[in-house]
Amino acid sequence: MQKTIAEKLTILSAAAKYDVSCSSSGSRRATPQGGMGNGASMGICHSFTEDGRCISLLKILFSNACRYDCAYCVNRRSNDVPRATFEVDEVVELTLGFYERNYIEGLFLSSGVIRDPDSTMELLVRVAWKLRHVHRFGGYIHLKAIPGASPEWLQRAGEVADRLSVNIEVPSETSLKLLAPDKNYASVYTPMNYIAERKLEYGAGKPSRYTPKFVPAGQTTQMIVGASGESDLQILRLASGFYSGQHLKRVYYSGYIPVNEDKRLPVVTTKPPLLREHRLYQADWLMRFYEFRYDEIVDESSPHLDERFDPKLGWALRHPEFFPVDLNTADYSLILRIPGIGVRSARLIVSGRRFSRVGLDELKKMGVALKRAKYFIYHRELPIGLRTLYPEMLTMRLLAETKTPLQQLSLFDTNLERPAVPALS
Amino acid sequence: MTLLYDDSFDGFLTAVFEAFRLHLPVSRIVSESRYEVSLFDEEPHRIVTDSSSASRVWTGIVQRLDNDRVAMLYGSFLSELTGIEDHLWKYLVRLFREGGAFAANPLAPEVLPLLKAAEAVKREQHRFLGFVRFQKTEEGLLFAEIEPQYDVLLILVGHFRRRYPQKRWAIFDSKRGKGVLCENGEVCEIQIPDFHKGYQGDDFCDLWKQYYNSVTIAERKNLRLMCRELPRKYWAHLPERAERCPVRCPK
Repeated sequence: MQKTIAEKLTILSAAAKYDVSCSSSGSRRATPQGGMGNGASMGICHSFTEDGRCISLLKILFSNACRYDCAYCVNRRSNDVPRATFEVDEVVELTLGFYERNYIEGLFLSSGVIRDPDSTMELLVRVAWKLRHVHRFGGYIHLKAIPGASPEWLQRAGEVADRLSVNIEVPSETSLKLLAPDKNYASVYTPMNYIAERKLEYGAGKPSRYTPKFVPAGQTTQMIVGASGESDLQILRLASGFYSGQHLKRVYYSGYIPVNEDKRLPVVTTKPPLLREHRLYQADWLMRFYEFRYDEIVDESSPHLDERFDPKLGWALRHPEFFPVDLNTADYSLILRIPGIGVRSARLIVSGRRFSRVGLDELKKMGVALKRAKYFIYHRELPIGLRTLYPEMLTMRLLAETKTPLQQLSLFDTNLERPAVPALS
Repeated sequence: MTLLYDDSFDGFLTAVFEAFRLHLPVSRIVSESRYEVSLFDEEPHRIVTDSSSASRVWTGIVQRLDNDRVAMLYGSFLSELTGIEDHLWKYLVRLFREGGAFAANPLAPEVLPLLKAAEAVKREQHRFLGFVRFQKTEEGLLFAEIEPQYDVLLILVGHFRRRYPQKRWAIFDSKRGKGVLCENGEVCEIQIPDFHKGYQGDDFCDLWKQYYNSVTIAERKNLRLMCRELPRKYWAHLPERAERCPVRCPK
């Protein structure tokens, strides 16, 4: 029985929603002659769903008729769920219709593996190619590189897409083999490395505006957190390797939501590890914008992020030798490391102090949050007792200030329990 | 002395021009629509907008400041905050007296209030790049209605003109009763829209609502976060949220 486009949209968007990548940033593609759509390099959010996540792209699967049987995936072969497959023209029509009404920034197209990786990749590329070359569409296109796809199809995908992503899904190879018997690390790393190398190649020399683009917004990946027993150290080390080795733009962390009854996985009643996911994102931000290395955030002696504090505060408490910091003389990179001071505040302080001393009044006027920073900065107007506190005393004090651990974690309404983590070697 | 100008930016610049030309002891510059008569005020002076005077002031500003700061200045004017003209006036007095070097100091008393206002306007402008929702009429016109807190309409136009060069589109700010219409890349201002109000909805609108519902992950429901990112004041013109107005935002 043939499904209507509305039914397919419902099935295939619900099937795609567990992929957390949503950004539409990094592309400056100009509107093609006679066409519609361009890339906004800062990315634009068009709406927010009731779970608080942004909708930027039309995120759908081409098909959820997958022949793989990965334990963590809602679309695995052994699940009894409604299946659907789009036609190329249906996806094109949906994308253009949504785009001209300004509902979306572009298309995020992924798919279950229909016959084999290459024929699936071909379908994705055909959709993107038709948008780009028949409809002269300049909006954002994010394609999923199917693990195991051949270089020829990756090459074609890279020529039409703004961003490609290969999902590593499970942060260690032993767990991946256990949970996803059809996949292995080679099938993930090969396409990832290929894309990274081609992107370097296209950007080498002196690119002009006539140089063809290859994945201008780079590539990303995603890891599921809490479905297998890896520590935060393992996860962050892997992520850090992706940033430096494959030049990934983003690594996404997806707190595992139990969708399948499976003895290899946490039980279905487990709450998703949203707090842990949140802490991982904070750590990720520290690596990307705050000049932290992963081994400064977690190490072998404490392989898990402290769930009570954000990782930056955790680092400051472990390193009292750097504090207190004098805002009027310290380096920008050290000011960035003060808990509670972000990139915006640090920039304001550094440009403001060239003209006058930065005092408490100025900080307040700038809107710098002093709640936590006051323990870590040197200022003559601050009571001396604040900056001579031992880390142990400070920890108690900071904990007391946050009435319940949930208070400062306004991002997520959930309880803090870790999911039952199965023992994996 | 209080100067009154019509609500336009040119009007404000004319007021600045006249204040300099006549050496007026300016105490306040207020737009006519926001001016409230109080008992102890002297009679305010109305300034007649003159575009050539305004452009002379504008040229003077552009010569002394880089593009980012010019944009900051204009952005803070669009915030329509009470008293923002007085901050702008102080800023301009200092600018024309001693040149643009002081503008690099974000902590200067003339700069900080403008910087904050401009940040807020910029934030809303960026939000509306996403929150404008066009509906397609039978004649093929894309029409959107918005009610932004700040007057961001004119700084939205460039983005959509670049994005839809072939389309005929219009955005109408129903809070301020003005709009823009863009045809073949030519933009003109429109005053009263002769379009239907509210969402008529077409097939794509229904598909969009369906999509919106099906990508939500129920296990992660977090209304508080959603309300922070997508404040209620914008819901009325978003088809996917318009019917949910009774939903209350948790504090």
